[in-house]
Amino acid sequence: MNKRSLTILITTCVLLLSPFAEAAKVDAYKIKKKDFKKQVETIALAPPEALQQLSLPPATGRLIEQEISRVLSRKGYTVLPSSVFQKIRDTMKQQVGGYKLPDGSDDLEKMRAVREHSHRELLFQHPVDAVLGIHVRLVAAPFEKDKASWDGITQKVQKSDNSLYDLMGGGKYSGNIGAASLRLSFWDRDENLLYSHAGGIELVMMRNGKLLEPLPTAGLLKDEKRIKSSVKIALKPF
Amino acid sequence: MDRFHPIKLFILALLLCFTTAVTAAKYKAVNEAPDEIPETAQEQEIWAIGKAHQAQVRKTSEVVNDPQLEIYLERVAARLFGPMLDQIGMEVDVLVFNDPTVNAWVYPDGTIAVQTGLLAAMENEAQLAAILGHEISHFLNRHAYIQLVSKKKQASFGKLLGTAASLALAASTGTQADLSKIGAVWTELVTSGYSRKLETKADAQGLELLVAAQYPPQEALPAFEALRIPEDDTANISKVWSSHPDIDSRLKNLKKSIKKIKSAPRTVPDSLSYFQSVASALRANVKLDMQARNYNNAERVIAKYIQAKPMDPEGHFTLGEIHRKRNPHSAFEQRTQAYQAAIQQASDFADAYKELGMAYRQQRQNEPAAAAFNQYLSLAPNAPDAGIIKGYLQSME
Repeated sequence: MNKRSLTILITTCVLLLSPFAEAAKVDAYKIKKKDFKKQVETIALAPPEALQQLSLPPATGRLIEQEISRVLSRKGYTVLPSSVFQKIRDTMKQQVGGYKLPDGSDDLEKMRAVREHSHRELLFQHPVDAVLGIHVRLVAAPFEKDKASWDGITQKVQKSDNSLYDLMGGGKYSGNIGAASLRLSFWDRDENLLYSHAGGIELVMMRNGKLLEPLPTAGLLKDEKRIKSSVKIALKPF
Repeated sequence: MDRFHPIKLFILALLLCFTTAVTAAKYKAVNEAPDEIPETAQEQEIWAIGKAHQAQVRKTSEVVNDPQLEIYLERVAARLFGPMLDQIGMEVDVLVFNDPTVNAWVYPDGTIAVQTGLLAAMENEAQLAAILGHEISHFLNRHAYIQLVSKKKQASFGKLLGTAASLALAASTGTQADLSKIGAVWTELVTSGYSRKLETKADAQGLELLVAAQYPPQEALPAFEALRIPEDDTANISKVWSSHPDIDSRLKNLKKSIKKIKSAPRTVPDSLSYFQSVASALRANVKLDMQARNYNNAERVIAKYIQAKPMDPEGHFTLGEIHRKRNPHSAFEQRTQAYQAAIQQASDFADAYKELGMAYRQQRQNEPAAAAFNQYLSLAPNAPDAGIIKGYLQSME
């Protein structure tokens, strides 16, 4: 994908997500915290996934899972690693003959079938009380005077170049900018949402004069400190 | 032909006139048709905007597209209007919205809007008529118009009128007007409720219309009871009904009014014919309830649908799916029964076999599970999940 397409895609996502950028604070727990502790003992981790044009380096996925497992184990939960879920998913993907149609596009029906069956199969094979969905997703982060704040963190907006306007001291912009967040969602066996909370990771866009453009993907989602911090924030109410 | 002798017919006609006169005397307050509507140019303008908006929403999936359902609802509404329809010179129009909230409203031009949630909550035609009578009373008394031009709504009303010029321009030039802009303003205006005084008046007059149309008035009580919002269901509070006087005081007033009615019709219309008439709305509402994970209501409504259409395999299958989604790891008996009932109605219902197989497999009943899966594969050999089902079969060998 060329840079122009990526800019359009990310900008579109940011525009679509903007109305939610300053959403009111919501409780992470969807049920009472004490009920969560009462009904959940074993948690299966779903394989970490990146959504909306973001790509998750495998090492980052492993780090996220490691950090989550550490926190959950410390709190007394039994954790089933994502490799268990992944194995079921991989087997099923093979059973349906992969996701590609003859024309090279994705077979969405097969993808949906694997998603549904793998979830049911995980619960059939293992006595887990909850499944933890781990998603790195694109969000619209509000920024003011080149400082963006979202999902528990604050980050300075990078500038690719100092325009004349910037140099004259006027280059302080406000708006919404693309950012990555880690969202952790716990679901019970009956697919009821029990807990959902997000921790900000980093901005995925920068400012070039008055325009916003994507940061090079090669450097994204690799900062260990930021990744660990996002897990900490996402599990803070936990 | 002797049975219809002119003298007998004359006596019958006299009797009918007498009955009507007695009814009219008893319920003198029955709404009279307005002298002339729309009365003013401004009201005409509002009607035109409303009509344009209705035409727009009719093309969307917001509205249930079932002409038979509309005809049925229009027939019930026409019965409530009675002779006033001819006096006004209007045709009854009803729109059914895909929305699980228990709600109905009337546009200023008399078009009645009902939501699938309301149709699904009613148990018979008389209950539906009680709600429609309330809405018709709002129309006959021009409550929507009064509300629209009230001070409280002037800002929104101004916006709405502002679009009238562009509509007129579009009509005169034959171009397409952007109706989406007025949609939100219009919906807000017509669904945001009336003052409590107007609501109380509509309750009383609606009851009179109900009785005049020969529906049993006591059915208004469960109809209004259905509007009660469960305390834990704050998301379901519709704008209209939240502005209504509280249900308890409405029911109290209705009970008082019903007591005063002498020789009111007593025959309660049967539920089955009502469920059959609104079956498509019931089906649509079940889908919405399932999407909202409101499985208890979905189960209640699908039961009505199955009663109305016992031969429809989809109804039985949906009941099985409601049990499965609500209790994915239990309720096996209810699930298998429902899937089997679906298969009984349609022996080629592939998905019913699959879910039957899944339910048996969950209970480790490999033999019936394998039989059901094999049946599924023979009916849907190219299903996207055929490979996965084959995998289940292998693991059970």
